[in-house]
Amino acid sequence: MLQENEKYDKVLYLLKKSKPLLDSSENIENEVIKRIKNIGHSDRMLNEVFDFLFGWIYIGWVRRCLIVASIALVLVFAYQQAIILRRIDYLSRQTIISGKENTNTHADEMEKMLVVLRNAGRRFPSNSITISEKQMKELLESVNELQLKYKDLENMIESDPELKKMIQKKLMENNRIKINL
Amino acid sequence: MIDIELIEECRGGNFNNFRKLVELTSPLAYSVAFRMLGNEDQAKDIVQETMVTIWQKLNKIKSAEGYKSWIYKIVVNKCYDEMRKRKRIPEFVTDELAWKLISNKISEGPSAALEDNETSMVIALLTDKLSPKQKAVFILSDLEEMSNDGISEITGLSKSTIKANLYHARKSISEKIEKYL
Amino acid sequence: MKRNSIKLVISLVLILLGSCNDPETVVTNFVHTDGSVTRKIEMKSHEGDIKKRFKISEIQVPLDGSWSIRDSCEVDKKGDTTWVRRAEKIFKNVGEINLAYKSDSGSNKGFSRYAGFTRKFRWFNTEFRYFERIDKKLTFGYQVKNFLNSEELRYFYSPEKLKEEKENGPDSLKFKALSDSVKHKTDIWTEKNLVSEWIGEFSKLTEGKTNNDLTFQSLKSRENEFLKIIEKNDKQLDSLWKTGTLLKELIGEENALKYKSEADSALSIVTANLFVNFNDFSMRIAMPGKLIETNGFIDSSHILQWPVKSDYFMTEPYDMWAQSKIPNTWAWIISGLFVMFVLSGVIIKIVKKD
Repeated sequence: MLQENEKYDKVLYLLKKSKPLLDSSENIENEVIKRIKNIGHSDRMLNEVFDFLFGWIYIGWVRRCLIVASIALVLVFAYQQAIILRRIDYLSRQTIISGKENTNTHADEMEKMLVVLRNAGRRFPSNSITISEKQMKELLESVNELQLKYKDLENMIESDPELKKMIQKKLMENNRIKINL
Repeated sequence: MIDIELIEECRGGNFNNFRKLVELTSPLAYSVAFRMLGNEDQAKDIVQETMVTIWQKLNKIKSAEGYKSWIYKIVVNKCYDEMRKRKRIPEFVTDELAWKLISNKISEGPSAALEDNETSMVIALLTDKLSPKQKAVFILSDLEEMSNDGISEITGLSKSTIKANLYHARKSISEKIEKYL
Repeated sequence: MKRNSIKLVISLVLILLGSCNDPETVVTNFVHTDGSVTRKIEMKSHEGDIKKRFKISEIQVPLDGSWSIRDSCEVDKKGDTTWVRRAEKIFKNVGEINLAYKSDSGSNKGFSRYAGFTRKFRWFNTEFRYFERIDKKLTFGYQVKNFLNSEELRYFYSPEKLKEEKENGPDSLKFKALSDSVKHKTDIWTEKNLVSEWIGEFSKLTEGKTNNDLTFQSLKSRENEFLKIIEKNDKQLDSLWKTGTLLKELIGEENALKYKSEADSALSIVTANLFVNFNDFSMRIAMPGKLIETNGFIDSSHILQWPVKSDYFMTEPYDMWAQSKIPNTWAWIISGLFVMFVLSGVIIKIVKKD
């Protein structure tokens, strides 16, 4: 047993004494410097950027502050949204007025359109036509305008008996000419 | 002597100072790398790669002790990678010849020492049945004479695991020595 | 019955004082994020005489030549014509609206009205609040909420359209009963306000001149007694007051003789404040962004609506307000990026530690 240990120790001593020696330290230095310089500007830049962006992770107090700040931000967000959602939920239970509004509605528009149709004497062709809403609105506006002007004209004629007589005479003449034709 | 001031001077990007650091660090790194791999060129490559890595991570080094452990850590990890990559190197020298060499050197007395290539051969002979971890633990403990705490820091293994690996390594080597010497 | 006759008198007075020509008016405020307001007024009238139609002095809200005005008419199936005036104006801020209120020459010019707008930056959202307020008329009146329960109160403030729907809907019996209850209680409320206001005004006018039995507190403590006296004499109120008989019954013969003029002045003030000649209309507000809170009624196009009636601001200011929010997208993005940045830093730290 002792002899075993002795042999082991002797071999070990031999190996310890025979420490590998680096003969070309200068070569290695040159090689290393060369490789460092050849790493490339972009790699260095990348490392620098990375260290700049994430260097704070190694600074304890900065890291803790940023973590606290981001947790606080998330909590504030959650709290705000919860409050808003609660208010909106409460709002959804508030009374909603249905039906026609005071301003012009589609139902009113439809009524007007019917009036126009009636006044036009239902002279549309039997096959259907497509009119855009814009065109219909323009038509209604001009009908309204015409009605206003017609009323004004009527009032003017009513207020002037001579004018009224002249117009009536003209109308009768026109009708006679039509009949003759 | 590697001190923290030298390391701090290197952080500024000063190549001259870094050259000095390489000069001081390379022998340590080479000793471990050569003993692990048994090949001079491969060991030199490992040293270069280690120094390039050091250059890129200079900001992380806080103390001289930390620096030393870190060097060994990088070297050992790079040796592991290398050992995994390469296939079993064919023996140019037979085992018999190697044992004869050991025997002759021991009989020469305490003044005897091995050449680098002889050291490589002997270590390869003694550790060829060991796993990379067992080999690393054996070299760091019995040849580089590091403490278990230091080895634990370098390898990341627990002290009990280190003890177990060391026990197996010593046993294997002892048995071989007993058998052939 | 007695209460009804008082109410009838009040209503008749109002009708006489009021104009039959006031148009049916809806005011819509489109509030923008910068605080400007596009105000649109729609007035409907059945008045045939163009000179009497849409007179400025009869319009419920400020309207003048600076507005863009468009007139039209609508003819229904029966052939009845409704004249419609639509007016629009952009106000740069609520200050301009308030100036318009101050210089108003319309039918409601005697009433203190103002609008307000606030914008609050809340990082993730910007909140907007718009309100229109009409100040109260009576100083010593009671709040209507002291007389009505919550359901009755909601009904009291509801637009007429909604009331009609409910009274003609499936729960018509319930809502008709509710309507009667509200009417009865608001009659009581009006009477109490009349008495309370007179007591307050009379006390102000006789302050320092009277003995202890005519102070505000002592008169107030006898308020219910006053109400009973008035109800008892409700058919001859006017004549009894003129002869001083009613006043004698209220404050005693000696005081009645001594403070007749103050009593008359107080009554004049009260009647002027209580029997206000306010022409009702509807107010609508459309807020920017998403609506989050309001005290109004929401219609199908998410525009808020309030009826504006004199009862609503008799004893307390009438506030019509709405609050909305618009998310600040850039703040969301910045916050998200910041949180992700910190999170990635933490992950990198953990990975490197490993």
